[in-house]
Amino acid sequence: MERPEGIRVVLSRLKNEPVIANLGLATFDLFALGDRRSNLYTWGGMGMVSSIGLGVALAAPERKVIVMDGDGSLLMNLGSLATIARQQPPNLVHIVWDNQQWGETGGQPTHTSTGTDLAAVAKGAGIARVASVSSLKALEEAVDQAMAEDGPWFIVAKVEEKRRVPCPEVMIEENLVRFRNAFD
Amino acid sequence: MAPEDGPKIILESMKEAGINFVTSLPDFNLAKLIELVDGDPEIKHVALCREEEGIGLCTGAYMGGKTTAIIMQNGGFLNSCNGLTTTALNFNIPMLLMIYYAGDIGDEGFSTLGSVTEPVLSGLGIRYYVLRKMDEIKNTIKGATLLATDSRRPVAVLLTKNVLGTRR
Repeated sequence: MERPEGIRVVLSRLKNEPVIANLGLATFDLFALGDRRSNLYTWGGMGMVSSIGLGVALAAPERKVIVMDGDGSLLMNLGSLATIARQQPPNLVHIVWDNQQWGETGGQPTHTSTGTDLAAVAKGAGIARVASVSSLKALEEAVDQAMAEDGPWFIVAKVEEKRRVPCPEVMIEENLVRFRNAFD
Repeated sequence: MAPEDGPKIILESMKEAGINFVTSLPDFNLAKLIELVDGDPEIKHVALCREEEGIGLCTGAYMGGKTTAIIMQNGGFLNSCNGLTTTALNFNIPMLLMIYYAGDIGDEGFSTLGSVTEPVLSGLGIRYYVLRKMDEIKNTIKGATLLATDSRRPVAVLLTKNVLGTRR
């Protein structure tokens, strides 16, 4: 599976739920596949997306909050998994598009390419509802279950990196205000 | 006002300032304050593994409508510099940074940390206020929170042992 196909699956199951995308490729793909009011694109703060998503999930417990992380970013903030486990937000759906590389900096292999198993790390951190998928069909099933049942959910989706879309022009301020207003 | 009442007055001031979401990592000198925050039903408290997480958490919670603070030691503030720069400052996120000032005058063992704290805050363009007097707690915390909200930036309050009740 490629990340855009996976993102399309997730988006097809959403109404107005907030989606917070990791900097770089997840943000580029999410924007290209369908900009929406409830999308937050993150820039510059590598590793922050899992923590930002937890903050949104705790502040808005009445709706599902979807985080689209990357393996490189999550490896930088593994402690966030333990913090998520300690808080147990039932509404958080944390998806990692694991391409096993630092995609935006030239495709250097990350530690998931040499055996680090992020699903096992999440389980060990104390997150019970964990799925690891590598086909679109398995992703569909995992996302359907995550949207229907309480979490926190952690889904690792193994993706192949084949094509890139260009970096979109997004005004950070405008995106932030729009995202924030989507909660009203 | 006795110094041992400091943590209670600090918490009251934070609540009067509207803060309802707090992230923290302990320091010995912050123990009482964090214990009070954790026990307060009006505040959502999140314990961190590393301080930079707290910058992300406060950012996300702000998106969901919360007024936020992070309680940490100045070593933890140094741990959060990238998140503060590329997320909080870059996205214009207000948050109150409640930083215990290790290595302050009269402290032992943290002089290097103490010596870089104010220059790094200045370098990041983060306005900061050092709290040394009990009778300045309320105005400083309420004023700093208002300034953070108004400027849509992090604002720091440096907490000394004088106001935390831990001066020997």
